Amino acid sequence: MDAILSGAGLVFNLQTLVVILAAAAFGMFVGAIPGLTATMAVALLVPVTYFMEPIPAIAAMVTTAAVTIFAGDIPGAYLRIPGTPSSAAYVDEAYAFSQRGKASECLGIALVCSVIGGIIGTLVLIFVAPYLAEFALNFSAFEYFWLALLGLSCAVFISPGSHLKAVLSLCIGLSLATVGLDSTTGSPRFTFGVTDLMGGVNFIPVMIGLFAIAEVMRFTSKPADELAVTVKDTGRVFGEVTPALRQHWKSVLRGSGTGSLIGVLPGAGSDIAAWVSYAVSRKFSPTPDRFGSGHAEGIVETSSSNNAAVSGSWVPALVFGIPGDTITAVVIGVLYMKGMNPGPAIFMEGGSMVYALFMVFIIANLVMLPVGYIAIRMGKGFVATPTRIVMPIVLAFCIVGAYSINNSTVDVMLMLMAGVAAYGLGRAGFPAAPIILGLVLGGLLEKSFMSAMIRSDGDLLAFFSRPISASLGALVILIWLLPLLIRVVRRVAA
Amino acid sequence: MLNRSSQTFGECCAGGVVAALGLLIVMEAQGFPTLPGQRYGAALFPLIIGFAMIVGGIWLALTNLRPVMQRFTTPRPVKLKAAALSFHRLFLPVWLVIGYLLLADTLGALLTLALLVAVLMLLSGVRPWLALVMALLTAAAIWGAFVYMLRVPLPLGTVFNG
Repeated sequence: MDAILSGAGLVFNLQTLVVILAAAAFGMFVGAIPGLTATMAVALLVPVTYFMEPIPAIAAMVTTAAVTIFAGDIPGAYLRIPGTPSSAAYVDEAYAFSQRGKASECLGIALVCSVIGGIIGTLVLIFVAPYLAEFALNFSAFEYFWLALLGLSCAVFISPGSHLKAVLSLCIGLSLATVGLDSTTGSPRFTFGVTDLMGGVNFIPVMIGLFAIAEVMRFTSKPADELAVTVKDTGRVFGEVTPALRQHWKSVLRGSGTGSLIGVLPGAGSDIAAWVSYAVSRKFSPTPDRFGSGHAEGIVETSSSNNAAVSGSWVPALVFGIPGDTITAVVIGVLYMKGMNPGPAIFMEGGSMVYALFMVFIIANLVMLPVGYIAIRMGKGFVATPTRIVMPIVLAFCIVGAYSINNSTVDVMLMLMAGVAAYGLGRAGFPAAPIILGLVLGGLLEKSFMSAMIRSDGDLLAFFSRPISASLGALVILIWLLPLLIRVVRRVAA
Repeated sequence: MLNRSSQTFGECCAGGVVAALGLLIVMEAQGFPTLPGQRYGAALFPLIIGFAMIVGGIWLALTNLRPVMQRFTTPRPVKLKAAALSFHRLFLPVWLVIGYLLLADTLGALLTLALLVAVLMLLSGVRPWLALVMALLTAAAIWGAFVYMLRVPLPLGTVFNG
């Protein structure tokens, strides 16, 4: 009981509550502007959270992530442009709904379902994480090696696009993680005599470069057209929520369940959850023919799913230190920098920190209701904010954000190099997410690999000698062979 | 959207660059120490990554080589002026960040950031008065948040502070 009260004290104080509200407003603004992603929102926030205590810092990032995913629905409903990739799956559905003059009603449904999905995902975190943590206490370097590799493999092979390019992006991230003093031998690697690189590549400037500078370069190379809202609106935000929930409550539960499950999978994020849930909703709907014409069922299931996935993705991140998606990768990086290493110990000690974390997750989702309501009422103004005004401001924040971590211009240059590289790689179709996942997870992957190698005296078969380790290893190999197997099955079927 | 030919060319180049980077990693890793009594050490992990980058990069470059060769053997009109303008626009944020790094110590972060925002807005077609107002507001907001609240020592500049 003392731990719960102490945890509440960490959350229910003026600083944390103001941070949560400010992060919600920031996330709403970023998510509502087409082209700015949830990862970018968190990336821009990181330099600010760097100066905070762990709980307000996590609260800021969790709130921003949850709110941005919902806010991505706003331009979808008004302009048929998904604000974030997580809203892409049902953008046509939302726009068709809005075409009836009911953009606010559509967003009201999405808002309430996002809150429900987010809270169900949080409940999964609260009830599943401690059991997983207990299980994970038996893990050795072998299991951690396979878990890290599983997370990276999922990120590479579950995501759409070329697997080869995703693997190469991952290798770039992993190679960046090897820069600095080697943890096994203590010798410097790839530092080229630069003292600033001894401690490794600072991941915050790299992340700002990857997700923000590259975006600014994309904007300057091809400025976006002026956006104009033509959808008419009655402004009754919660007008159709009750009938939609009464009619489609099963879809809300199914979407939340699917989203939480996909979120828990390392490497699979909210956008994949949204696509899967939209397909599931259509498949099991009694009226599949109404999909595409603004059917509430698809919106209900998918909007609960993507927010549930955001909450679910914190399970592997907090229990194993394996990020569920890019956002959690960023947060894990920040936690390591703050000396609060994620892992089963956090849950097993059961201190005030764990209860504070759980409370933060619930508040982050609840705060979405009032902030989301205001955002929907102001939605037209939000989505029409020209990127030619937003992007210069983003660039200024990027510079100061990268500088502020170590008060060093070297970090600004690092950010710039990462941005240029990400832009170039992006033009060639290389995804940026595996780079940051590789950079964050590279240390854990190498450390567990080397520990396992030393323990087994270089015997690779030892990686399959323990039951859990062997199962995880087999799963990783299956994921790597999956594209080949699918190709073979298709060829045989043809 | 990028056209297919441009994408293929980009893929071929990126494959080559990744392979070269992999080669550099492998060469550099050769000199890393091993663990006492073992054949492996600090070089093992970088070597695995380096070899993966070499193989993957070469594969990507080779699979896109034929379309790229066709592109170069087929004569196409080169629009130099448009290409130069596009290059200039693309690297505008880079020049602005470099400009900030060069000027901030002299002009101070507040003024340099305001200039940076104003220049990018003006070149993006924002009306001058709006660009000026937004630039000043942005610089003031950044100064307030980072210098006053987070205590980040942004450069004050030597011009106005001796």
